[in-house]
Amino acid sequence: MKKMKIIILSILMVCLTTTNVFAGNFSGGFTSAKKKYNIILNESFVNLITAKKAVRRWNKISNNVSLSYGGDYMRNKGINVSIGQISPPSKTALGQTYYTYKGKKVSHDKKWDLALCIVYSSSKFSKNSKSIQATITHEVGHALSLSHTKGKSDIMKQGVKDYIKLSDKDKEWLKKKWGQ
Amino acid sequence: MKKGNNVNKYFIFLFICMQLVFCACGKQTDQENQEIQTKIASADVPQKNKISSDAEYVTFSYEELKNEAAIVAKVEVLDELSSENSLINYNEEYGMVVSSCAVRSVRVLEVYKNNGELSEGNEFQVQESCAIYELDGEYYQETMDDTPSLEKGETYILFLDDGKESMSGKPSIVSCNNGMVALSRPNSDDEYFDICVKSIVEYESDIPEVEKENILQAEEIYEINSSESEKEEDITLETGKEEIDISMGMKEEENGKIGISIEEK
Repeated sequence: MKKMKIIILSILMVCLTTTNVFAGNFSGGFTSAKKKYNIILNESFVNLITAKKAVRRWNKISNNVSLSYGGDYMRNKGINVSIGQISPPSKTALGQTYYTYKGKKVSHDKKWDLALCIVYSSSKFSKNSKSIQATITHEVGHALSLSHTKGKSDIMKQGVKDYIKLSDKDKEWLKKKWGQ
Repeated sequence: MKKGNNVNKYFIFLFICMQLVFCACGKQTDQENQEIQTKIASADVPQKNKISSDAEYVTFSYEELKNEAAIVAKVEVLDELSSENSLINYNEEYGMVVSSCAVRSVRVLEVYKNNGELSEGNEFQVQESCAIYELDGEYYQETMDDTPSLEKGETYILFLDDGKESMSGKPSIVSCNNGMVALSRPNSDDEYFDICVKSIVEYESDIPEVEKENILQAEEIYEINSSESEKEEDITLETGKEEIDISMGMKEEENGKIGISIEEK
């Protein structure tokens, strides 16, 4: 009987550590969210100050999340944000985030040491500043282990947005992942 | 003496010709071997390298999707996803593949919206947001936002753009999985359940016009169990190889919401 309990508890522990405990968070991610970030910018899209603001929107919510500007492209660690530099695979793709660990691409259920957040040089769908800023914040949200949500005013919801502020739900998910 | 020289020249010419032929044959064999070795299928990719990137893309309602699409067609997929039909954009500066896709061959079973060039029976190529590739000696399979790859032999209703801004130049599925309806598994967990239901109702069913319009105009469509449905309609989905009989249950609410159940018979 004791053995059975141990087996069930072990299975539960494995399930909890390998799957998403919270629907709005990935089980994988950086080991710490105090990170340097770099911006590779196409100035015709958005200026550097606005881009930095869009990244830093995740600061001052959780004591354990702090993103500071690092300057150069980081190959081994941190967050790289590429804006308007890369053509989208199709015209409706706005952005995409990739994760690597020790130089190899990994999925969002694994540990990563580098995230590349791409804001594509899309066409008609992301011409205005608000939607570009929202996509920057959205992609950096993925780098911080936030997944897509369904709330109407969430920055982490899928699709074009005409707002740039984080919703209460966005902040809640960040705290759930990284603490108060 | 002169005759001997001519014979020598003849043999040298013959020798050179034979060398050229052997070289050409060798090269061809090398190329063939290389092709065989470099075709990577999904089964060759280790599970840890099957990656879904987190993508943000424009999402459309059913009506928007129909307007956005240059082509809406029912198609049968003719090939499987492999490294041979995949395209990648490798960025030297970032040291990473920064976008990818595959070009898949399909046969048209029915055309619902057309750019004037397609008709039933045509074979053409479409772009999907999955790819298989080799990098630094490892095989990877990548997809955007968990979008499933088109399955060989299966039938889909696809909403395709004109291809003018797609990576491959071929018509692309409009927005990842927000533009593909798998007819052979209509009751599966579909992220865009409302698009699946409305496509089936508009293109595949002969249910009464009033009911059809109710469903197409519904503000929200959500999934229910068949036991909750108040009325049911039988629909036959005609795929390329078989007919699938389904029962679609409905529960109408006054606020423009309709609950739908789909059950295979």
